[in-house]
Amino acid sequence: MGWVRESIPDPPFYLIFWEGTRAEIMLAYTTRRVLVLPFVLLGILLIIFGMLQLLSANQRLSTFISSPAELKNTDIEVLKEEYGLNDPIWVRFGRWLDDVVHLRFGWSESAKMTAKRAFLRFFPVSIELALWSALPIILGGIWLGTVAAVNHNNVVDHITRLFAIVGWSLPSFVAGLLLLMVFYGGIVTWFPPGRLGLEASEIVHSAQFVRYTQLNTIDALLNWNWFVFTDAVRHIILPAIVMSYVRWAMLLRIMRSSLLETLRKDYVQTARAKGLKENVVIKKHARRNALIPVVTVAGIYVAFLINGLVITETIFDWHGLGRWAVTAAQQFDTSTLMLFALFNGVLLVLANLVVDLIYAYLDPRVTYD
Amino acid sequence: MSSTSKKSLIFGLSFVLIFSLMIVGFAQDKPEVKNPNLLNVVTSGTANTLDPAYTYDTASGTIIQNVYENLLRYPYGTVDGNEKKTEGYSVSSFEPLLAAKVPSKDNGLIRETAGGGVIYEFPIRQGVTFHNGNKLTPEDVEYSFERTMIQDRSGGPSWMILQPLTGYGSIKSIVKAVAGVDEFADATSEDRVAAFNSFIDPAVETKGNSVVFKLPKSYPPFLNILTHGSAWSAIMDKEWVIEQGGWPGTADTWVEYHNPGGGSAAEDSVLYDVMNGTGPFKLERWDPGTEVVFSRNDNYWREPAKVKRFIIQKIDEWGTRRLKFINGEADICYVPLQYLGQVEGTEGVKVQKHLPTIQMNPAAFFTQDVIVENNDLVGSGTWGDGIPSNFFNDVKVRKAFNYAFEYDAFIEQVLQGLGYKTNGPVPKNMQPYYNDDLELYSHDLDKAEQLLKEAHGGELWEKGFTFTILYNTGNESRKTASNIFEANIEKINPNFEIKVRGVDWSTYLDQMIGTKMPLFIIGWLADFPDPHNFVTPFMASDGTFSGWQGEGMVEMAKEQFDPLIEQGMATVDVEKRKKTYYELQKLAHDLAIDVWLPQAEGTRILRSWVQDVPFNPMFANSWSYAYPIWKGYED
Repeated sequence: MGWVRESIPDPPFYLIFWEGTRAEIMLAYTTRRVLVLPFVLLGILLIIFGMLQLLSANQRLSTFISSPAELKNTDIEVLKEEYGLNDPIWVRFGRWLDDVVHLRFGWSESAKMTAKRAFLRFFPVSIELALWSALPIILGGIWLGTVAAVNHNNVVDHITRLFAIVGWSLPSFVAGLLLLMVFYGGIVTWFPPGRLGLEASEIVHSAQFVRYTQLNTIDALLNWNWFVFTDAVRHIILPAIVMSYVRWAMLLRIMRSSLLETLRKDYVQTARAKGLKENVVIKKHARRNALIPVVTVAGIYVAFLINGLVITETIFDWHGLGRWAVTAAQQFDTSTLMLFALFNGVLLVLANLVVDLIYAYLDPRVTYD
Repeated sequence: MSSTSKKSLIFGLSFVLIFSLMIVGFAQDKPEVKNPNLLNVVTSGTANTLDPAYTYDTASGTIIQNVYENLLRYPYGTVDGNEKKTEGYSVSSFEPLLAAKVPSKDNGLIRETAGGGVIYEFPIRQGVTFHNGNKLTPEDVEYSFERTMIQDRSGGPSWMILQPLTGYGSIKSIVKAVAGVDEFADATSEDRVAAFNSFIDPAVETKGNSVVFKLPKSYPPFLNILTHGSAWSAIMDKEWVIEQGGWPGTADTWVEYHNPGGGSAAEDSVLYDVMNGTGPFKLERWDPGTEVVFSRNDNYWREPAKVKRFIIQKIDEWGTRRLKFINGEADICYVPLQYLGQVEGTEGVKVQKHLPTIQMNPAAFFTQDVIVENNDLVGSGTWGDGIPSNFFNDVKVRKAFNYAFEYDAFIEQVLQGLGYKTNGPVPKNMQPYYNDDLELYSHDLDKAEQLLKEAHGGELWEKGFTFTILYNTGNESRKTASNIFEANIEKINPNFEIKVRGVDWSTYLDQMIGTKMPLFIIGWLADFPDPHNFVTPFMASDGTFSGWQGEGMVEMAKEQFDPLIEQGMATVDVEKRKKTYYELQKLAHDLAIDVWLPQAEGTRILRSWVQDVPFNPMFANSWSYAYPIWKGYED
């Protein structure tokens, strides 16, 4: 890269093992990617802000007036002056940018609290759902794909694929409501909607219970409270099933075709010829390589689970980001929508980065110089 | 088959088996009461704040009604699981609550002064404590009202107290008047202190063990504004509010506590999420947007409530809410009318119907002199492929639209038969001010056709018209009402075209402020049960709706309606007021200023073990107040 190496003193001995290593290259790569983030965000902000300017001052006034009754005794023009709705565009953008940099996202009319506070409240909920769904989605998808590929073109392959396609086509609200009716509305009430039952909720809100993460399952474990843990798990099973079931088809297809292709490769033939058991051939040799495209997709998939899933959250009454986002969109809650755009920007950049790193881990040939 | 595929098959088969077993079975009849000491209500709708002086939405109002109390209350009836319905509710007579007596002319507690003003004196009940143990004193009452008046947040309820007590609708206008300036910012701090000292402070004073309100002139609905159910008149503990960081109560500090958050950030009020009232329930926990939990106040000044805990949960999704209710985990459920069939007839569920409501929601409004520049709702702005600005200025057109609507079909199909036709703007259940004998417009397309032929000197019929009806989304009935107009008007003449569009609130607000909507559909819920609260928004020249219905309407209002509206408030004599409001209703009818759409009756959906649910049409929600409710079966 044109640097004059001779004038730099010899590094201490441990750095010799660092320089030029893969780890060093990856770290440099990661740093470069992360540094891009602010520019991506600024771009997003400009676009969103620009689109919002298509609205008239009167429309933007609706953030402050939410029903006809509130028009009484309110001088609209005075209100517009107060909130600076008539100011020129660059003034408004500057003011808004200043707010964002200081993490002031404004009042969220759809959540009835500040957008920042609402985010901190809803984010852990979506994380918890994503966490408990991520593993089933990935493991389930990979396993089903493996089963399908290994039993290529026989009955098991067809059943597995059918199973997944049904899941893909079944709307999640239908699946969700059906599951609720069976496991909650019928003779049994094993898996209720919501995050916690009334008793567990009391415990969690009591002074003795320490909140570490705002995730009920994790916090219950950290507080050694088995009752709350089982209650939280009971509430998360159905949403996790619904979220996973719907996504298996996609991962299955990719895993299946990827594994089929890998199984045809020469080195797999060699491994078989060496006399290795089929099990070992698949698990030790083929699967890791077949995983590469799967990881790419699964990674993004899972990351966007954090965005929250509106339908699952609505059906099971989990107050997470997805539900909030839709309510905000319906009510034209601009502060929330801005925050969301930013959040998604960050999420996308980081998710892509993580996926690329995993990719590099899986495939030693990959390097980012 | 490999072992993995065998496993999957077994798993699949067992799943199917369990599934089919579970699908059978529902609740039995006279089911055992679940959670007898806990009342669980499931509904939708988020509360904005817990500050009585800030709140203006029904969800917050409900919470405040259970924790705080007012000087007076309305008598309520009860509706419960056994379909026993006790009359005895009223919106025009009162019972004392935190006051020891209801003021009246007879007991001398309402007195007229020489200058034409009115004095209301309330002796305060002894022996009442707040949840934190502090005693209720007259100073607390004075402070509560003064605080609401000075807070006066934008878009808030303070005008209801300011108007009768000071003659002004906002404290900013008082300051401007005292200072003699046009902008609030131009007033000096001396002006502001003076405004407080001359208008706010003397309006409410303590006098021994009583509190005295001085009104500059007669205000007939004054007692209604103070009554329990009106969150803005809730009584707070002065010491406690100051401890929370609230207004110290002095003239020189009020400006700092005025309009917290500019009216849009409810959190900026110190009482946003804390409560300390005298009511039968204490706030245990509020999770905004999720649930609010109350626990019984065992030191309540009357007999304590029957249930130990009371929870209101917000579950927006109907399917899930219904399951919780059918299951018995919820005791009272909010059911939108179109889903009534899904719960009616289920074992263990009772549905109460035909409860009176006091509302005009929705109504259809005409704009006279609609703005045609930059307005895509009026097409070209002239006949044929648009409408001219004065389209609805001709009373014949307005009457024709009144005849075009299908009232019975709307009640049958949209309101599931649970509705009633009405004149307006005074609601039908606001007796004695509603004129039952005034004729209603009926569905008569022949009359409509005749009127449209005559309108605008025949030009309308000859050239035809096109325009767009806007409705505010979030309410199916408004959409259907728009479609009914569309279908019927278009039937009359192929040259008539109406388009229908649903928009979100922000767009709606924009169009409304711009006076661009030729016909718009939206609604009004009562703030307090007095005809004045309805004639003002619908007929005053500066009314919430009428003020935005175009030049023609505003002129009409100034000439014909404003004098009558003032007249209605000039006396407390019920007979005289009735005559005035009868006149206003007749004018509204004969001039066809709006289309009075059929209104929904109230319904109450309960588990059969829920007893003594109080009923009064002025309660914020149809079940709001949990004090008398208990769970069990009467035998």
